[in-house]
Amino acid sequence: MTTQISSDNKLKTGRYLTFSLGNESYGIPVLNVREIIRLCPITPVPRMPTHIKGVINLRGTVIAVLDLRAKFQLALGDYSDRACIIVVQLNGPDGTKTLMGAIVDAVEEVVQLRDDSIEPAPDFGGSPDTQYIMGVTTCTGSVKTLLDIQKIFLDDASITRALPDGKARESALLGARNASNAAETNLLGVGK
Amino acid sequence: MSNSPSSISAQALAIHSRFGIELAFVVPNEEAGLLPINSFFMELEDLATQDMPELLVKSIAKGREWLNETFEGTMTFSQKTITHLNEWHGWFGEAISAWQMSKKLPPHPAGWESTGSTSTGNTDAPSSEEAHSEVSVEEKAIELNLKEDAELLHEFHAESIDGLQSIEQGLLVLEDNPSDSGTINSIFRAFHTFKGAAGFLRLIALQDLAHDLESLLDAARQSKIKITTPIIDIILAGSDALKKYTYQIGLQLKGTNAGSPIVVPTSHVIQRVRAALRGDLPPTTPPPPQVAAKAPEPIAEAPTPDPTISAEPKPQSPPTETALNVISQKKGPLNTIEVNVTHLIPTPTASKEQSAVKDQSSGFVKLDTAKLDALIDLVGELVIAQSMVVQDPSIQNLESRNLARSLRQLSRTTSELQRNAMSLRMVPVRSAFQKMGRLVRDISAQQKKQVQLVLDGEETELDRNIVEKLADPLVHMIRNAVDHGLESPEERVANGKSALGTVRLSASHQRGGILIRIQDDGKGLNTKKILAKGIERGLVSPTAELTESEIYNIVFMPGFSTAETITDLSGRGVGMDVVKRNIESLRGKVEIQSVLGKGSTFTILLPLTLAIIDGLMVGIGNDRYIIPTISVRESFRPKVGMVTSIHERGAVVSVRGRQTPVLRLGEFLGTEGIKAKNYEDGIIIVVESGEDMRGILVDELIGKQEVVIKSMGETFKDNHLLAGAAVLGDGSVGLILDVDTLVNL
Repeated sequence: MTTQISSDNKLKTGRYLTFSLGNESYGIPVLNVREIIRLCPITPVPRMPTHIKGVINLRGTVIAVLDLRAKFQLALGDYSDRACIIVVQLNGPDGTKTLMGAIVDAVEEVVQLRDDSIEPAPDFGGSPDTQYIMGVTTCTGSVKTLLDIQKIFLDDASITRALPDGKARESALLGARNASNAAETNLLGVGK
Repeated sequence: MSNSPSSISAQALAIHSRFGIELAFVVPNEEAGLLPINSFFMELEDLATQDMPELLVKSIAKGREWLNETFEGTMTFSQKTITHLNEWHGWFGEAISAWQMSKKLPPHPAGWESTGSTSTGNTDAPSSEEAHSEVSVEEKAIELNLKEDAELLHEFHAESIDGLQSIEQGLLVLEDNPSDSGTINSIFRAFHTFKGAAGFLRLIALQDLAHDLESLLDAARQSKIKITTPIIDIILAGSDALKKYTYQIGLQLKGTNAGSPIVVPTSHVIQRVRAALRGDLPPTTPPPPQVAAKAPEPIAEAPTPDPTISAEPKPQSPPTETALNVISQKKGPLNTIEVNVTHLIPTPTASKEQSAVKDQSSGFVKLDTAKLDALIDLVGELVIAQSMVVQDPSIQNLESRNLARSLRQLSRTTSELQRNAMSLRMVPVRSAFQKMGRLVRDISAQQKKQVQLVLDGEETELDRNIVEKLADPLVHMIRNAVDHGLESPEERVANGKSALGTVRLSASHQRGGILIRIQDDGKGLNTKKILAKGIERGLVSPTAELTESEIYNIVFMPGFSTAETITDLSGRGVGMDVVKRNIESLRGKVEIQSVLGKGSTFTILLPLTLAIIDGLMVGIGNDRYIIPTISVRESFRPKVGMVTSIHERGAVVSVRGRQTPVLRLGEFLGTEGIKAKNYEDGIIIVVESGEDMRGILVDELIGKQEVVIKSMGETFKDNHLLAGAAVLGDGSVGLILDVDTLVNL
């Protein structure tokens, strides 16, 4: 790739695709956007963090889909019919390319931004976490948060095994294990 | 898909054609098409990081430059950019086809300033001074005219690999049956063909060697000399030298050291051949080690497929090892689809009468494997699209008998097409098995053991990719069987066995998969020794009480090697753990049975294909999951009282007299809307992994389905509950459960 948005927040000048999440407006570099598709049925994958919505079939390729609202811990709600999935291409550190989808509430427009119109991410002193934010900008009358998609997605592209988040799961697991031990004891008993 | 030049060029061509369509919609001063075109350039840039001629890479960079100007400017296409892009599109198409035919790429059109147009394709021969400096007096060097003969060389290379392999097979047959005139004839003809082709390409050194070998076979044919083991050794050494040439030619075709002269020491072999022809006793020394020992190795490293795609009717032959798999188009009425994949090389035993040479020319089409894979993928997509159409509610509401009939016909045809396409992937395991003949011969000679290799079920068909990946584990296990398993002849006789040891390699269908057995009648595994070694290496705790099969499994642990003397062949640190890993990566299993003093059996259970699994679709709540049928032992609806709960949380069910733990899958996965609250309301599916079993409670059985496995990508690589995903009939994604994880929770 000749023009690459590096994760050290350089090279900000360029085109950005803006979209909305709730009442807020965000932008990501257009160069990473592969396509935009309608929201389609998503197969949930068990035992993953809640912001990993599941997988979809993108013309024969299975790709993971993230819910950006869940990722940023915004209020969750139903998707309107303007909601869609932005498919982005990510470049892994070892040169691998990964496609991932992100659900957004609505796609707005493509804007051209110059470096000097982008302000650094404000520091809120912890919460909300700004490590995914490349900067903020004011254009077409509203403030847009520019996201570092490499950071957001690569984080999830190599997510480690999700922790079980419900007690039911844990007890099902424990129960099974106890049962298995019990079965062995039982067998030994019968054997004797 | 592989990243060979031919596959890269094919991908680039596909992008090129989609690009053309998108370009047609581009209008001056409008934004339409900018994103798609950007995405095409992104794809091309990915490809450009791989092996692509410089001129193409530069042209892509040029296109990116124009696109960036547009991005940074008005965000709309200017007339100039559109003209540029159209020009680019035309040039790129021509350049790709030129690249595919290994021709010189056309220069960039005028007006693409700052792009060099002096570089050419990467297969130009270097200056001739260099070529002459390295030629030794004794050994004749060959030089390839890569520019003019590229296509012929590709063909020669592929045919040589096939021919040499069949020569080797034939020689092994001769070893058992030296007077088999049919085989002598076919080897003679194979060398003859080789000589002719080498002569045509002016590869003098190859021609000379093939000529001498041919004379030797001719003498044998006319019963002037007798085929003895030393004679076979000479011929093998000769064919090894030819193999080495072939390998070098393959490398140069790929672009490595292109144009440099190839020197393989052959004078020694030629002298021995001539001595044998004169009737001198052939020297009993083994062939020069650098030829004999190294030559088989290059053959194993398959050269990449050739980048040429020819429009001529003449079959193009990619010189990969996989090119050995060819498609036979049965002669018959043209409207029947009857395409079989079969192996080019005839079994020496099965078709002694037919000559290997003759077989190569009858009704086979050689095919680039990348094209085959692309075809199979497309058929998969077609089947899904078909079922989406058939299942569409608006179509189902139409009450047209005509439509229903047409749809039925469409379904029939697509499923037939799918079955045929899938069968294209299947090849007999023969190619993997037959390589073992040479291996056993070499090891037994080196170890002074008497070994016969018995092959069984070579016609059993497996996915091409599995057959390829099976070769390494097989080599290792056969080596082990001969090296460690079988005793020396003296020891065998002392133990009341025949001096001749037997290694049996067999393949058969079982439980929807393929069973491969490597059986030897040697000394068997010594559990005491293995355990002691395992404890010594710190692999097991000294106090552990292990069953026999658990002890055998120590063999598969990393860092274990039982060889008491480190031999050339085994004990080099690459152990059975690698074998096990390789087989597991093919979604297979390996097990050991052994009787001390009687021999050992290694059993490998493999799926028929990597791409498709037979799955059992189960429903839990609103979710559907696929369980690979190969791991399913049985399924039943439990009656009241069949399931016994323990501590009210765990539960066991009796399966064939064995108390098996039951996992409530819905609760475990956290599924919503589980219907089977009680065991009696659901279905228990008994799955197994190795010797362990587990019952899995699900709401319902939806059906059996063959699914194409798709990787789920990096995001889920640590989610061990899932073995992959599959695109279902309605276009949605189904998740495939990993049974090994579920059983070993």
